[in-house]
This record gives sequence, C-alpha cells and structure tokens, in this order.
Amino acid sequence: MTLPGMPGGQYTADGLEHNPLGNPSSRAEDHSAQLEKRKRKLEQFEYGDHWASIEGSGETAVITWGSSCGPVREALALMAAEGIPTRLVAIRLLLPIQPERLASALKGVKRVLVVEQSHGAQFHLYLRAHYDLPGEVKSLAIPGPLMIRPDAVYHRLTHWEES
Amino acid sequence: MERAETSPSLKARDYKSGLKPVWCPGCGDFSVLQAVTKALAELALAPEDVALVSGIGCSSRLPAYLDVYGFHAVHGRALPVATGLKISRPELTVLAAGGDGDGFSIGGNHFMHACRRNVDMTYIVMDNQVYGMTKGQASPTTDPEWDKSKLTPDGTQISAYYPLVIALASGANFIARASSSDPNGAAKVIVDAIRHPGFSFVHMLSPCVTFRPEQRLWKKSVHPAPVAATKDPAVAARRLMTDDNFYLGTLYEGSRKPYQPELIASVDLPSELEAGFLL
Repeated sequence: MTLPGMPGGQYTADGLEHNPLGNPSSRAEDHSAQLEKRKRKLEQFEYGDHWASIEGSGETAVITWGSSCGPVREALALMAAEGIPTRLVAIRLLLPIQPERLASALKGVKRVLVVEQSHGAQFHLYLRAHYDLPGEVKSLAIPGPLMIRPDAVYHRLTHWEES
Repeated sequence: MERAETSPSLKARDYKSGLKPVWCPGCGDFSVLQAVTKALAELALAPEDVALVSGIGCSSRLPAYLDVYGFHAVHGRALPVATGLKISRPELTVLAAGGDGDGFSIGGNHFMHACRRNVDMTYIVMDNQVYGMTKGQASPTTDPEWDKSKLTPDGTQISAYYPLVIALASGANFIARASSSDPNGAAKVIVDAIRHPGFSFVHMLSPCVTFRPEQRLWKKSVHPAPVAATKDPAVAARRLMTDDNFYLGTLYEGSRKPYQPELIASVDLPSELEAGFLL
C-alpha cells in the first residue's frame, strides 16, 4: 500500500466495485472476484482468542453477545455462589463463523441457554442455522428497551424444566 | 503552498489516469476534468503530492480519472475526509470535489463548517442544479419553478440555495465561479484557488445535458464578473447577493489565517501506520 507523497504509487481508493488495480468496474467477473477476495480476507484473518469470551465450566452453558453479557455474568455469579458451575460463551465475532472453536468451547455441555436482547430471537436462530449446538437448547429473548435483568437469566437457568 | 512546484515537464494529459469517464456525452464534467489537469500542470505539482477527495454522484467520479492520490468517499463527506488529510499531511495539495446535491444537501453542514474552519484546501462543486445519478430530481440549487421531475411536478416552490453567499457567511477565504464551457478560464480559477491560503471554494457551472438539457445555453449566459475580486467581505456580500449566478472569475479573496493544528505524531512506513490498527 502506498501513501500520498510516494512517487508512482497514485491510486484512487474507491467505494465503487473495482478491479484488482483499484479502477471502478461494473463487470460481473470483477464483482465476483472482489467478493471472493473480501470473503477470503475475513475468513483467513487470524482472530486468535478475540472471537469470544469464554468463562467458567460446567454442563450448562449460556451463549450470548453484546450488551447482554453483563447481566449474564451477574446471573452466573449468582449460580456460582450457590455451587452450580455454569459456562459463559460471549461471542464477539458473529461472522465468519467459528464452528470448531465453538464446539471446543461447548465440549461436555448438556444444556445451552441462548440469551439475547431481541423480540424475534434472531441470535438464537442465527446460531441454529450455522452451528450444531450440543444437548438441549433453549432461548431467552427479551426485547428492549429495558435491559435484560440478571434474575431473568438466573430464573430460567434454575427453572429449566418449566420453560 | 508549502510543497515546491516540482514537475515542470508534465503536461495536463499527464495528470489523467487514462480511464474512460462514465459521464454522458456532452456532460460538463469532461471539461472540469480538463480544467483540473490544466491547473495541476500550470502549478507543476508532482502527481504524488496531490490528493483529490470526492463524495458521491456523477461529478464525484472525478478522482479515478486523475493520476493523483484519490479517495471516492461517502455521500456528502468529501470535506471531512479532505480536512483530516490536509491537517495530518499539510505538505500535500488537497482538493475536494463533488456535485451540488452531495455538497449542499447531504454534505451541507460539512460545507458550512469547512468554510468556517478555513483549512488550506480547494473545494470544487460541479453545480448542475439536479441529482443526475439518480435520474433527475431537484437539488438544493434547483430553481423553485423547475417541474420536470415527477417528485416535484409543481417545482419545489422553495427558493434555491445560494452557495457563494453561504460560503462567504460561513467564512470561506476564497470564492470564485467558473464554467465548464470555458475550461481555460476554469483552470485559471482553480490555479488561483489552490494558490490562495485557506479554504477556497470554486462554484463550477457544469451542465447536465441529460436531465437539464436547457443548461446547454449556460455557455451563452456566463460572463466575466464586471469588477475585480474584492478583499472586503462586506463588499463581497453585496456583490454575491446581487450576482446573477453567471458571473465568472474570482469574486472574493479573504485574508483569514488558515487553520492548521500542530502535528503530534507521524510514521515513516505504512506498516507502522497499520500496526496501530492491529488487535
């Protein structure tokens, strides 16, 4: 990559679809090639351990993301205080999917609760579309604007059969 | 102009990228491209020391047609990108370009504050009084009676936006008008705009022959401004408010000090810059 001021390196950074030289192009083959290139970039990037926060252990796991992580952590602290170990998988990277890493994070898990702040449970549906989740899977989807409260997560975990 | 004018051998055509523009035959923007390259050649600027930032729209396709560093930015956001570039790389000659919709509607707020900030750069707005890329809707500079769009069958009935008056009121340091029908005159205006310190605004009349075919007659309406450019903002205000929208040439040359904050950090290699974005 060249920067302004470097002789001979002039190019236009264009938001339009472009060819490998960076020139705007509306050709279908250029579009396909660039789509593949962008996909490859995302898939081959080494995300390391940043793809998710994985905490705790136990046969029950909560999968969540974003702003729901805080109340879920508080709920799991309540569980731990009662001697019931529970795992947290707080996903930070929604795409590209990380099936091997999630399978490893959920090894030995028999119950999965998917917690999200939404009305249609779209995170739960997204996970079911892309991953084989182990054991019995349930969804706790609560729409905003009020934040999910820790006791709602705690209640669902401690009254598993009722939900 | 901090950077020496270093490329005396380059001709106007040397500043073109060689890509064929997508503009309609007869579009005024072809002549603006010509005028910009003539101006860069006249100033003998090294192509690598020039950066052109544009917004979205027909005229904002300009950067890819030039062999300088280009950035085809987000709709209405050419000015903030150009401002950031200039204050971080003051040695570059920074140009911003776009159309009337991009600059005065979507980016209207940026226009005012770029004038006010008075960073040393040149903003060329190719005004055709219509949104051409989206097939011909009224823009901020469209006459209120123009009724050729299905969206405004009775015209907008809202008075047009006067970019030069707004530019003056907001603090632009150089205000000029040029016409694509006179590429040599336009090139001279662009040269003067680049040379003038601070924020220079060039109102470029550039007809849309597809959706405003009547604008072909603009070339007969334009005429040189009857008096020389003024340095007095009060005089300029009166002139710009009574202007017939077809005066060409430099209309105002201010003397406000350009805004240029002190530089706090720099990198020698792109890899050092990229390192800052690593997780």
